[in-house]
Amino acid sequence: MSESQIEGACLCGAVAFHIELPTTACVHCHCTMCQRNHGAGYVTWIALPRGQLAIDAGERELVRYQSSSHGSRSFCGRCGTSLLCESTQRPEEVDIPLANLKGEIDRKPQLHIFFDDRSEWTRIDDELPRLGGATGLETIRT
Amino acid sequence: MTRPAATIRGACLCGGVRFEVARAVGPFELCHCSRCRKASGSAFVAGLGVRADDYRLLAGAELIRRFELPRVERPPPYRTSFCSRCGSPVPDPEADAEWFELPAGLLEDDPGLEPDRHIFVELRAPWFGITDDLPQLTKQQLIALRSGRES
Repeated sequence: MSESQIEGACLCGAVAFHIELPTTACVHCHCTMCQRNHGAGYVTWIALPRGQLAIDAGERELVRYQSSSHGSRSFCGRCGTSLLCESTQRPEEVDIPLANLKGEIDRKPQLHIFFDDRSEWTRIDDELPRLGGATGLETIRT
Repeated sequence: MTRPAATIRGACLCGGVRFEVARAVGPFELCHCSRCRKASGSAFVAGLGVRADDYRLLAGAELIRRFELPRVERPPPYRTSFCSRCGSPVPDPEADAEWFELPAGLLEDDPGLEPDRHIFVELRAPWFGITDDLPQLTKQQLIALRSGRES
């Protein structure tokens, strides 16, 4: 595995994959769909061109859930770990939770999106830009 | 259907698994251990403590799938339960549990509690810096806290 490749897997290890750097983005998403699907306050995603993701094992374990008219989320059917988010609005890219990668990637989280949708109990004190509003992607603090 | 004003509702992403809790008692802990990070696909699990008597599963029992990792040190094994349709983690208390933690991101209502502390902070993701001023406990400090000793 070269230095530009990072391995990843679900909790049980049934689904294993690797990505090829560079990524195109790394964001903290506070939308309610991410909260519900991960049971978390917010989810830190990376985005990268589809061709830079390779599933090395367990592809048949992946269960795809159509979470909106344009988006789907895929998880390991054995352990439930969320592994992919795909959108027809960005068909050339795929999103992966940073938590499921084993090594450090080429960037740090860059910004918060859907910040106005954050949970009542989420406290963010960092200096990253915050996007929110009706689309979740409007600048509310730079 | 009316519900008591204080009832806290929750659901998985697809809405197949729905529940409510009469109140949250805490503690409310943000766990940064490697298993929680993977299971949740996020920087930390937000585990909100509730009493089993206060919890009611409203729908979706047949959708809940359970996964247990082989135990590493001592029982109990690491267990995670999820909706088999959408993959969301879901509450799944043991039959004899008096208290358990549920993933706070599932809640549709304000639980009325704020997180108490970060735990397993020595295992946190290298890309995640804790910026709030909540207490940060290592595994050993958490064990000491739970056993009633000074941490």
